[in-house]
Amino acid sequence: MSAVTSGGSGASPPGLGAAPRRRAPWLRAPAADAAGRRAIRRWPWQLVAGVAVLVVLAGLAIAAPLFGSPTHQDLIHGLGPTGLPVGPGPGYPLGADLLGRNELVRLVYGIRVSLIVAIVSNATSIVIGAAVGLFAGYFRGPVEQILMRFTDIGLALPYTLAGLVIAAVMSAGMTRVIVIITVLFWSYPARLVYGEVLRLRTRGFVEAGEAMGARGMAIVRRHLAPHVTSMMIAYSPLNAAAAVAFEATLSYLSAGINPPTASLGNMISDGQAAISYRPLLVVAPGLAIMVLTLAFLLVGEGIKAYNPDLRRLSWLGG
Amino acid sequence: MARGLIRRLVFGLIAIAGVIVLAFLLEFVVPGDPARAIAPRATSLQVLANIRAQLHLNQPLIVQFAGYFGNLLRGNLGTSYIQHQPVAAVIGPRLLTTGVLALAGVVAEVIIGGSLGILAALYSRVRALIGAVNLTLLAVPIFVLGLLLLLLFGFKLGIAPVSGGAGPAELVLPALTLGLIGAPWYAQIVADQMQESLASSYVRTAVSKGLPDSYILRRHVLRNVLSPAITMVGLDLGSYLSGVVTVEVVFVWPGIGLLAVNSLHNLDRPIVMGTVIVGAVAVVFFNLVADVLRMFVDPRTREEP
Amino acid sequence: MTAELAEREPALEVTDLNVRYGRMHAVRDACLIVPAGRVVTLIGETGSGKSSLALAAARLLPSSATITGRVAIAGRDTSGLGSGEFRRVRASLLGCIAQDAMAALNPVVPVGRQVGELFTQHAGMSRQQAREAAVAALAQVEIRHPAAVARLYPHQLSGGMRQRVMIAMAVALSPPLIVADEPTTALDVSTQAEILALIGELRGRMRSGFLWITHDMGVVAELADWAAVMYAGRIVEQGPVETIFDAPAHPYTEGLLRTRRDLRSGPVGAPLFQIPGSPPSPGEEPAGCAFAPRCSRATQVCAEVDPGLEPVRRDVGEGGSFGHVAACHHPVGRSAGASSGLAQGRSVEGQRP
Repeated sequence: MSAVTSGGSGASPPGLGAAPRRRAPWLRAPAADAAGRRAIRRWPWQLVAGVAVLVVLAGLAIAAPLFGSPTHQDLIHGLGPTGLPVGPGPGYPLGADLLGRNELVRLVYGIRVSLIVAIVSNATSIVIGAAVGLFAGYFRGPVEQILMRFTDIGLALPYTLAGLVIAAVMSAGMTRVIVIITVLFWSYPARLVYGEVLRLRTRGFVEAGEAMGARGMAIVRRHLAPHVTSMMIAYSPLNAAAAVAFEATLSYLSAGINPPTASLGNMISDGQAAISYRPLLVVAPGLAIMVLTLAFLLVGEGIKAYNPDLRRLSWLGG
Repeated sequence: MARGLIRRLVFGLIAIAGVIVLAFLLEFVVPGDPARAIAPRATSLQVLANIRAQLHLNQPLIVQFAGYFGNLLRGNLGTSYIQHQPVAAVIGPRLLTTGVLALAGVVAEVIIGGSLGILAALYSRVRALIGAVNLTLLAVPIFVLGLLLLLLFGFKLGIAPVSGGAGPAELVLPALTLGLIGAPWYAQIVADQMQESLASSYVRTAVSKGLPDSYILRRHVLRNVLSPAITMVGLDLGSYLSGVVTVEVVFVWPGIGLLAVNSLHNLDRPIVMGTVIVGAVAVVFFNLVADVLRMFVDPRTREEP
Repeated sequence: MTAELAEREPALEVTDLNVRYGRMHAVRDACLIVPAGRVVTLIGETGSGKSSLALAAARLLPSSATITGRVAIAGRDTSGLGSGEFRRVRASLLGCIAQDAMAALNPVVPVGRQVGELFTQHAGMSRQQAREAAVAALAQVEIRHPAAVARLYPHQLSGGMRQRVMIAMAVALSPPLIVADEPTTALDVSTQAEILALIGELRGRMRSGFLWITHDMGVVAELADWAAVMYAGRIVEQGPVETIFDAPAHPYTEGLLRTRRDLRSGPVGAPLFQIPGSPPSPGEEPAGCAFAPRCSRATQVCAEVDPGLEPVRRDVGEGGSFGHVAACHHPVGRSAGASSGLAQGRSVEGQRP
């Protein structure tokens, strides 16, 4: 084994990187070299794959009403003679669930719910978190101390338990889930942004801006915001993936979206009782969650492959 | 060194106190009438009023809190609404049960993740494969993975028990689930640290001393990998606990997590508060343990900055 | 002792060594001998190839480097050995002293153990014996309270002490060759003086040959018996240190010495001499002499023909120094215009002191 004597090529995480090549104005592209400009314009495959899957799923979600009603219980056709749900067949491509509802329709509606939750809670948690990080990093002093204490608490909370506790004080539904995710997720981007602002400070951006006479919010807006924005753009796919998984977990534990509204999580908890003879009721929504999460993660990997400067984020998200 | 530990201990105590206050406050926002929860079939308003008086529910908040805190210090966590037993007695036996699962899960994730990371760092050919495996594991929600494992090993292959219980046979799948979910994080840390070590000057020195590769790995490289890995265990506690709770629900493992979830649904507030407080204490305690371990392993962290 | 040393195999003998990193030719056709018991310094600026040469001889280059040529340590041909074989014998053949002792020592292992593992792995000692041997090794490099120091970690030691630990590791098994890569560059002046004194003393006691890489002419003056100057991957001049300093033959060497001379004894405020231009970038392969673009003595033949190492013969009236060679068509000390004839081939005459 000559691995030890070969001398490493430098730390790089086991990843799926393909070489980034193209520029895009909204992403901070790496310093282009001559070879880069001459190279064939290529998107990283992770980005393409991830976006493609998301587009397909989004299409399904938008077209959901065309599939039928997710809450309609057909006890005659949905349940067989023994009272157990029917398997895949005509009219029920994925079979029926324990209450005679069409599993496929519920699946599509569940995807829709997951996507909506992911997008909305992603936006809210990142906006709040980035704002906290920016203010803490720029204004320093007591503001920084207070905000970062809160952030530390947010980071240390066991999020499932905390989510359950918050769930106990709100009524079931999408609002509840979005609130929980926002409250529990904002501290991660806050810490990332805070660290980045501190780093930017050591590189003199802030001092330079102040020397030019800009103050306060202007500096934040013109000098810090662009860096932070590109960082958050790279971070949001990870955040969205986590949001999808967390919404599913909460709904599974009856602390998110409860039946009869279809959520991939509560479909699994409903179907768990039938796992021995109709595993599809668990496997189908489970696979849907995985595909959705994987799509977001691939997009995230693709963005990082495109601009290796953002590798700082790694999978740990900070 | 001692000064740093004491400082962390103090912060931890403050955090616990904060959690207690928060939990107590939260109780008053929770909808539902505790009196009704205790005696759901009572029809007489007088009975309910008596219960409320007994629980001091009509007193001002501060007084109630003082009473609660006082009880806490004496080890009295209140009485369960549903089970009519002292909370401490209900939670106590389950502590060990959860502890066993938590420990098994940590061992699993360190072993699985560490092995993946070491393999990825040493053998470039498998690096992409391990990267894909890690990505997949990250994409799976913990309860989905648990159910899939249960389906495969429990129902299809029949080699794992499918009904709840707390014995060693029942421990395998939940611990494995926790291990697989946590593995990618350790794999990343271990792989990064190993790559850094392998490329470092001191490994080159070791090579120049003619030491065998396996010796270098064991004595020089892995030692430097331990410290960040242990830090990881400490940092991870919050999300790890969440995982334990979910796994307990999926596999019906009779621990604190399952108790907490059920009690929340039953609005059995004393138990909920009790579990939250116990959870906070556990997090602080194990964070301290991780700090001590890290100081032990990496001598550079022993001096206070 | 001189006669005895003269009969020993040279500590290091490098023949036609070439080191390439991909397309970059870092070391060209280098030939060098380090006699037993002598200190040979390898002088050059960053990028001259001096580190690559030494590391290639010590087989510490990454596997991406391509090495051709012959390397013999204490008479033993090591270039033909497989990596496993070489690993087994290397500790008894050569010791290495790295430049940055802080990075070169494992931060989480006590220094005593890092010295001791040489003894457990190569001298078959038990843990206890190795511990004692390590303490003795630390004492040998003039560390006070060696037993206490052995229990400390690298970050708890001063820079000078760390460097002494590195030296202790290198000399522990008394290898015939010691390769040192700028070990005093990172130290402050007084510590550097101490370390050099230590080396001088060790050298008196041991019979190892030293290959010492540096860019500091002061170190060369103090320590070396023999000096080899490298430029753009080639050895351009070699010879006894006194000769190199008093009568350098290659214009590059002369330029280096002139800068130093100006610094030390020139008029205050006068500009320092600087060799105009800069070395060729790695990867460029200039035809002819690599130094020609910067050389005030260059002529047409310099741009076309790469000079090989030739013995330096002074003008009539001055005896040449035995073994002094330079790769130049118009060496200093000979009137420019009289060329040394066709400069082909490389002949390194015996460098017996």
